[in-house]
Amino acid sequence: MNVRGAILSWCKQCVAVDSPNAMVLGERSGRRVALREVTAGVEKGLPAVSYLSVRDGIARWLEAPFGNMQKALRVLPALLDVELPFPIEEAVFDVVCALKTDRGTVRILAVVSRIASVKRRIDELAAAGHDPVVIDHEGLALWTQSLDEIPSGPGERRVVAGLYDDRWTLAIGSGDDFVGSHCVRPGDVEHAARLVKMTFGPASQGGDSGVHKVKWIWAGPGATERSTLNPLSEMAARLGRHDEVLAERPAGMLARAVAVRALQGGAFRCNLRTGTLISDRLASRRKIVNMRAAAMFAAGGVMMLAAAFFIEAKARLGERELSSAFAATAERVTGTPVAAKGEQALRIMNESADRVSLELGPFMEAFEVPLTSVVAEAVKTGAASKLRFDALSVTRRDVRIAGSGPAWNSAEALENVLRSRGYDVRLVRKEAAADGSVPFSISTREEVK
Amino acid sequence: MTTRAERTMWIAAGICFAAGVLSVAWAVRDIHAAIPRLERRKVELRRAMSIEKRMEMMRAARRDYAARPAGKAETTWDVFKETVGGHVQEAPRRTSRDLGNGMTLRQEEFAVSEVAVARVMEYFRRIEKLPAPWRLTKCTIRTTGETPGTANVVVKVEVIEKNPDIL
Repeated sequence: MNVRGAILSWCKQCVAVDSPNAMVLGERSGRRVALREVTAGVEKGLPAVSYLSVRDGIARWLEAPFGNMQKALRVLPALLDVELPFPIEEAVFDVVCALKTDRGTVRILAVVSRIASVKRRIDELAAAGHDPVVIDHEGLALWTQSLDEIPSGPGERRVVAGLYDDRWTLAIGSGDDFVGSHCVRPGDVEHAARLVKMTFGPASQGGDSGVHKVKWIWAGPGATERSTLNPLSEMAARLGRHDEVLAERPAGMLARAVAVRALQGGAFRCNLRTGTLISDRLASRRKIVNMRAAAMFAAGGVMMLAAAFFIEAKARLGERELSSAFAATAERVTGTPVAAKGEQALRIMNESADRVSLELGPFMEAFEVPLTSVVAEAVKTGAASKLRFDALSVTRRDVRIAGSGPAWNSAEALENVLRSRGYDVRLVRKEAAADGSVPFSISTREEVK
Repeated sequence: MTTRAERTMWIAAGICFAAGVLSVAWAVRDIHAAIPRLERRKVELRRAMSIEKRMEMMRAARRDYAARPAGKAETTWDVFKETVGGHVQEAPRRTSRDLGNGMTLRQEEFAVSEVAVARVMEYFRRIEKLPAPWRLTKCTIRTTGETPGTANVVVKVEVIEKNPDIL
């Protein structure tokens, strides 16, 4: 079932007008709507809501032969045009419910009325001092309010009868599903019986089986009058097994329904004051919502612009900071501003450092580990490994040793010692000589920094 | 049903949004291109800083060295003759270079043949303990095979001499 949001979503209160003397003040509090019968004069400044009788507004289920919802809704005016006894151009309609079926079609419940009828109703209410924001549908209002006040059982068949002086309204459905609504001349019980039979089918009246028991709910001012109710009760009994329930405060049920439906979202919500008939209040609210959405959209764009500007600025700032830090370092190293960038600047800095190194290098070396300790350790390790040195040459950056050892791996200890001293050395061994000794050479791969 | 004002607002909002999307796309593209450039700049800065650090370390070493007591460096040749002896292949070659601030780098290099390697090690230990300690900068030992434990040796040593008259 389609669930629609509250039509007066931005309002906390509204006044439902049934007739000038039957008004209900609805007040939303959380997810509930508190209702209070009020007299004329209380409603000043509050949005008014009312209904169009079933006589003037038709609620009709239609089936569009498309699986696509948008397509189905697009063809709805054409479907209505076929069904209606007046041209669609003269009508105003509201889609109350649209459901996809297993057959690959869409079932649409539309409420439709002549524009003139809705205008007439607006004029009637205006004459009584009301400017309704919502014109609901009487049949749907009675149906959903009856479900709210008297919950249905699964598959239960139900007829909600609104008994008024000028009309009897029948809202008929099964379970929670609305099937249709009809208007009957007051007192025409047989016509009412025919409509119910037609809706449920003669076989479905069930007799004594009880499978298809119908619940009759009496509402409206006539529900408390025995003279009105008795013939209807007899008719209901004649049709088959049934229950009868008198709605609580039946005269105000329709006004309550209209107030609840305007303030609270739910199934089968409807407003026929739409299109060219839309109320100024609702139009201005829609305009505000529309403008706010557009403003949010624009704000999103502005935020993206700002974010992009910020990202770009941050990247540029980062690059500028790096460049200025590099230039400052280059100036400190060379002693003068360096116009060159990147690799060229680094080359200038290295040259400058090398010049300084000529003068200051010996001071650094004075604090390094003495070279004598390297020579001493190499000689000591060689003796321990029974190596025979033919040549040994050591500087701070370079080491070259040639000799021979008693075994293939004899020189490895020496290689490890030199590595631990920071020399990146390479050990090369040759085939053992006739006396069994293994010639080797150790030399630096590259200069040690 | 929308009014002219609403339509105008939506058009403006659409333009704003499209501009936002475009600018973000533009920024992302720019950043994408800037990342390798920034990385390169970072690497260059790190290399520049390491050069500066090396220079700072050298300057700090000079300051520390300057704080040491002044002393005239003696020649090591006498120490060598006394400790090692041996046959002089090449007479000591002496050089000196002014390091500024009253300090001079003095270097000695000589070559001897048929000397005991163990005595050469003893020579190294002794020169490091002189009042102005000398440092070995190059040592080449080449065995001759004639007498075990002996070799031809080339030695290069240096010392930073602080002139007490200036310091």
